[in-house]
Amino acid sequence: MNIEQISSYIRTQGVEDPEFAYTMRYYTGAMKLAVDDQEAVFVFDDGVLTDDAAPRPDVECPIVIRGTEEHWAEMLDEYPRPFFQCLQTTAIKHGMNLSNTDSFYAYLPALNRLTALLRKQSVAQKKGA
Amino acid sequence: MAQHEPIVGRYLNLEVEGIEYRVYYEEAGSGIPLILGHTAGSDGRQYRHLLNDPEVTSRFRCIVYDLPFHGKSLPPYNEEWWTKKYEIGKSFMMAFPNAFAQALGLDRPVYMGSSMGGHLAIDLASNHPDLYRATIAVEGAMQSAVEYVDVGMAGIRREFDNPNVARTSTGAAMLLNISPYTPEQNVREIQWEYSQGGPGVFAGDLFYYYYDHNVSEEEARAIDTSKCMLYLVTGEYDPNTSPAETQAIADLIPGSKFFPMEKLGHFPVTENYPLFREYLLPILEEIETLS
Repeated sequence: MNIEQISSYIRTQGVEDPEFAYTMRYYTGAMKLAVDDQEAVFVFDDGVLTDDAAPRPDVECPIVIRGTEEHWAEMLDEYPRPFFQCLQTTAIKHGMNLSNTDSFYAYLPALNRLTALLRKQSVAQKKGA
Repeated sequence: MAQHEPIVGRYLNLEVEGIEYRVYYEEAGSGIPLILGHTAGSDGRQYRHLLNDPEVTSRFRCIVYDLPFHGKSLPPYNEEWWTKKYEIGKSFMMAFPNAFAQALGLDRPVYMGSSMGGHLAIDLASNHPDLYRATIAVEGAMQSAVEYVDVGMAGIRREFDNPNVARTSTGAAMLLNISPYTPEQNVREIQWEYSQGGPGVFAGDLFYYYYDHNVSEEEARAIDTSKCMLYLVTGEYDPNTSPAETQAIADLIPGSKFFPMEKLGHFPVTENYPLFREYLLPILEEIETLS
């Protein structure tokens, strides 16, 4: 998935997922996802995704997930090969960049859920292609 | 009609290194005693599928304890434990199953443990070969993976012992250890158990897992498998102790046997017990034959 597909999916379907919505509860701040040098920003207010998608530097985003196209492709495989199974292994074993902030750890359940949703979408796209 | 499982739980008052603990344990089966050790930050519920497996319990008396501060084993009542930072080390990790086996009158039991329990299987084979007829290291190695060791205890506590981060996130983090082939309900069960630990306990357990367990090549070569046979099994999706890392210690220990496990991760006993037992049963059969 490219950044446009990821962004579109999160805004239209991801936010409707009950588990993602629940695990993002009370979050106020920006979350940035990046595929290579393409970035998308999502701003939440008390757990609700707003329309604000204005670019901003990493330092203004308590949650940043930055990977290469290969990182995302491998991680979103239906059955990823060893150590691409989640955000944290893709980071520590393969070099994806994750923010080292309290917000990242506090909202890890939501980020893992988001990864699972994106994987499901990615697999569906491949099978439909 | 009530449908009870064959598992029975009891409490044992046990002194270890001068401190008395009220220890909870569960058991099922009869035969060769098989002590089971849980992973860091979790408890003996991880072995519920094994304790319900008649192919095992018909030949082995399977006993799983909750370490103090874990599961239903409370912190010691007569100690001001809250005045100290919780941290578990190699000395206590080894002393506990030794005292436990002695208290229950077990005759040279088999010890099997997972993750920090897997590392412990190696430490017991190395340091107490006369007390155990065999040990089985599930996800054991000379040391845990260097990428995680390098994080340091401060980094570990920032993620796993942080008042700004709910315990739910510890459960979520365990996804990193789990094979993507794992049935979702088992993923959730592992995460549920990890979401329930006491404050700072998981991080404190990791002191042993990442630092105090550190087997040298010389020590590994000296392990005498004729006294205490050492089996090792490791899942291919375990980033903390990869098959390559287990292979490295197996290569050093004469007579040890290593079985890499496909499609399993760091929690094979809970991730997919039917798949795990395909590796476990031949080991138990060999132990039974040699006993």
